[in-house]
Amino acid sequence: MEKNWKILIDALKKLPVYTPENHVWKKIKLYLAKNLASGKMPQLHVIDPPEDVWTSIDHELNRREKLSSLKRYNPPEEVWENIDRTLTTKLIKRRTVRWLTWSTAAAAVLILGLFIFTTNNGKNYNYSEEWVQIQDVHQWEEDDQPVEQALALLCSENPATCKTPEFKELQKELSSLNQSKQEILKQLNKYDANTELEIKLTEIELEKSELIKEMIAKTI
Amino acid sequence: MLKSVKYILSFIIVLLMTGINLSYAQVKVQVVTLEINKTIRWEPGMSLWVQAERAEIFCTTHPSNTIELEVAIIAKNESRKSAETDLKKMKWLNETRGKKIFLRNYIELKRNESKPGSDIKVVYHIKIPERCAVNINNYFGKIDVENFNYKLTVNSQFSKIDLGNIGGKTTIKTYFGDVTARGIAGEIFIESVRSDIDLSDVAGVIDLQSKLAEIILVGIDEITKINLDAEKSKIHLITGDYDRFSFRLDLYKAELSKPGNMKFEYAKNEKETIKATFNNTEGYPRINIKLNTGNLTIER
Repeated sequence: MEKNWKILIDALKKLPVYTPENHVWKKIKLYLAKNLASGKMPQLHVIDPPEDVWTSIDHELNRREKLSSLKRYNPPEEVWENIDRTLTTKLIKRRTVRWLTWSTAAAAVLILGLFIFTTNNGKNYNYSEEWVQIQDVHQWEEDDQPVEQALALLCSENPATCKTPEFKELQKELSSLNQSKQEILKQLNKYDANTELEIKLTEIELEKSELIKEMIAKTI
Repeated sequence: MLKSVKYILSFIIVLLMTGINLSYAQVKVQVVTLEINKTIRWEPGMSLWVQAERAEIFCTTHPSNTIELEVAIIAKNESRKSAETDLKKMKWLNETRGKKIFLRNYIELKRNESKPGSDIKVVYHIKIPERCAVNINNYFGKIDVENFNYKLTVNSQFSKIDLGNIGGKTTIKTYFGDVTARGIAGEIFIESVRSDIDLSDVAGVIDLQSKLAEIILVGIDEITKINLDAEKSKIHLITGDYDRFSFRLDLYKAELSKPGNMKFEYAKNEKETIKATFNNTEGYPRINIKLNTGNLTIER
């Protein structure tokens, strides 16, 4: 008995197939007809199959017979309705699950989009160019030092006057103006022509001039 | 012929020199702008508090229960990179704490970080509900409020203040920030130092305390009362028909200029001190002016 039956079958399948010419078949047919008529055909061997083959055939026939003898029942209408309903529910469930999956995916995309949109839309950077006139911010500081030095010199020559409450009040006012001036100067920028602040600086300078004149007048 | 060539050449040279000069004066700057738009939910009783610096603030009302906000932070520099870096130093925040909605901008420098070399400013465009109280603080810049009729408080340093069509209760404290108002009514209190005050079409009660100011009051027909207490200031009062008002003046080291027909009753009329009244009876809108050093001009 062949052990590797499957391998053998596969190998046979792979063999090339040859079909004989029609005249070959005709010759075979004639040969067989002649020999059968003359009774010269050799007798074929008769082989009995093993017992277990007959047993398995018997079992199969018995099973088919029993199945055919089983009683047949038609289920009531409601059973079919139940089956139908169950199938419909399952279909709806399947559709719902599919819908939920899609909507979740859409929501995720939407949230991501919204996030990108809000971060972009909430905060937008724009770029442009413009021509500006460079401002001379330092022009406002030019006169300060000589004036302070002159006042210090006058006070060193006339210390009594500089110690009077009136002079000290003027000094305090001058110092306050200088402080405000410095505060404004810190905000001035060479790229920004801030006319309003420059007007305020002019007013400060005018007022300072008045104060300084008054202080000088007192010391002389 | 030679003369005309000389003229043409001279003209060309002058033109070239002017051109060179202009090219030195002007530079191309990179402008980087960060824009923020926001809608804030508002409920009755909530108020808006703006704490700004280097800001131009434009505020008005709209018929809605939201605060609509457009903020632009702008940095200018010859170098785009520097403008971008400096722009990031200007921080902006908005938060709601209880009944207060806060808007704030400020410069924040990290350790070893230099001050911004760019020109930086913040521009706010704010629309608020009609019954939303507003409190604005600004250090350098501009404040512009229009069509508001509730409670407005402004605290400004070096910021110009422009008001238009304002009512309700208005309180302004300003240092080096001129105040201009066109159409202002209700209860108005202004405390100013080194700031000019220009009010026109005024109604209601005005309480004005100013130091070192040029004060102009025009169109005061609808006023109920004016209390003006000033120091080292110039006051210009244009009254229209002055007979409709009752005046009380208390002037020290001040010059008084008034229409010739306006006859004051003087309690004191000395070289340095003037104490006088006009129409001193009940039933007239009262104008009290106290001035220490300066001048007062009353005009029809």
